[in-house]
Amino acid sequence: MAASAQPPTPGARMRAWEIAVWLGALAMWFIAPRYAPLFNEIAILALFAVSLDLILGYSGIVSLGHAAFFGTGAYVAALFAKHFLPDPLVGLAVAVFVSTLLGLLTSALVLRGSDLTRLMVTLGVALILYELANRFDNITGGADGLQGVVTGPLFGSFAFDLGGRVAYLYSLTVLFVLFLLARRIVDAPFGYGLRAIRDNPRRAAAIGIPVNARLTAVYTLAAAYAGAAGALLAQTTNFASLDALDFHRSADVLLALVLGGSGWLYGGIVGTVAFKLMHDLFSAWTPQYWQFWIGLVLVVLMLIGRDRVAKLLRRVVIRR
Amino acid sequence: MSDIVLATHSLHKHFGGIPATQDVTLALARGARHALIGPNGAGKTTLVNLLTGMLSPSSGRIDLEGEDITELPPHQRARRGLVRTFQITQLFDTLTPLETITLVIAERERTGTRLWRPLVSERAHVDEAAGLLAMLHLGDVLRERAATLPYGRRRLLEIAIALAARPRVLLLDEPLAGVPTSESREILDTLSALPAAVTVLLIEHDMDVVFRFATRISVLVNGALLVEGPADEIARNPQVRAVYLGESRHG
Repeated sequence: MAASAQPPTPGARMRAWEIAVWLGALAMWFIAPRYAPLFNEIAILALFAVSLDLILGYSGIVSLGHAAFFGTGAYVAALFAKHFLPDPLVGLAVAVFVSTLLGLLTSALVLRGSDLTRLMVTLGVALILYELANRFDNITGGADGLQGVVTGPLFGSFAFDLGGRVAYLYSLTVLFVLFLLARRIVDAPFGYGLRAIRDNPRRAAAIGIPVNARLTAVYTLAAAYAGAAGALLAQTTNFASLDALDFHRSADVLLALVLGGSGWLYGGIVGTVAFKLMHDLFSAWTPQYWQFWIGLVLVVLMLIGRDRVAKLLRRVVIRR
Repeated sequence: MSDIVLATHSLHKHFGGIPATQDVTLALARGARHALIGPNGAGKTTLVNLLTGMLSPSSGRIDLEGEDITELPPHQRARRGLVRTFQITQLFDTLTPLETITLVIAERERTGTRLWRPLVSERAHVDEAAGLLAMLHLGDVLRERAATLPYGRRRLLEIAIALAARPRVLLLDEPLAGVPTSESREILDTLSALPAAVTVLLIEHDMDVVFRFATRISVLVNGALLVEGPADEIARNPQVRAVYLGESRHG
């Protein structure tokens, strides 16, 4: 019997279709350079969705205010570039550091309470930050956004071009590295502990898992990821605005993740691509009413069941 | 007096004005096979919840290995070897039995915070998990999601989780509730095979099981201990027969 104890998943090794996904993303840089700014945005929002997946999909923490960390990362990166040092990697590190700190500080607010409590608390935190950024316009630029941000060249030699090609490579690389890290984490004992907490917190505590400490850790980690995504946006657009903290950011990323499938890291990427494609498709077709169609897709998806749709898609795409 | 592992000192619990546990003073010796019986609503599960920290007592004290654990949260009690099963099965529904048990072992070995190597790459843990699951006749469903397992299998997995934690004190809250006869024998055999040093508190309705397994019995009625003693004495006790065995005819 013990002989059958082969690892149930390949674990650390990447499967063929995963390699294809990443090579495909890279290939877009050569195939459609004109669309680099769009791909750049998708890579950034995918990272944001992966961040939400860590808390929502793997740990069962619902959030309607994840933009709090995204926006913090964006403003910190923009302010740092403007006032201190234009180097993008240093700016990214600083933005991640500050968002991580904010995640750690606010994690205590999501430890207790029902899903509704968590939704409202996360929403509240994002609203507070939004209005703070609005109020202190001498620092943030307020409703006009933070102007005059200039991001320096990568490694001191690769300047960000107007066509967004350097930007896309930069964002894709950061996404790739952080994605691989997340992938290790969710398959490691820590990640399984999170799933256990998501499935049954009482039972998790009964086998000795310190539920609050683990949730604090993952919430902080997710804040770091969201902060990185926000920083990438600010650096590759040389701009930070209230939009980065806006409610629609939190709602869109949730929508994209649910679209792609939570509790599965690629769900964030798939969902972001799908959301962006639908957005462009529907808004080209009916510029004023595109949200109607997004809404319809969402309702249908939830009623049919995301699992069934995802299973179908996975069967078609992955052919396992 | 023999070596006391788990003790309560005049434990009280009120829900609003309603007493659920009243002045319970209990001592479990190391290696005890102790049963807790009582009619429905006697407060047996409440007592287990107090012992494991899922409820905090209104007053009183709980000692584990001579240390006051009354204020400790559930996970710290579990880490000290105080492990329970649940009357209503509590599993991780999206995990497979192999993942579940490997996780329990990882937490037991304090490797649960590792971030880099996959859970399932820890050969020693995976092999131990597979061995335990095979012993509990779950070897053929190692990779099925727990949610898809039939009821009897879920009960076995519930027991397996507790055993994988290598308890010093094991609290079994009606482990055989609703389990088919064939599987209940597997569970009983497994429990009988536990190391002698493990202290077991069994809550069970089936008197055959209680008398087969336990050497000492406490009887709980309306949240208070009615009587405690060796199994054969309790079996003959007229008070117990009136309160408990009389009632069991209806259930």
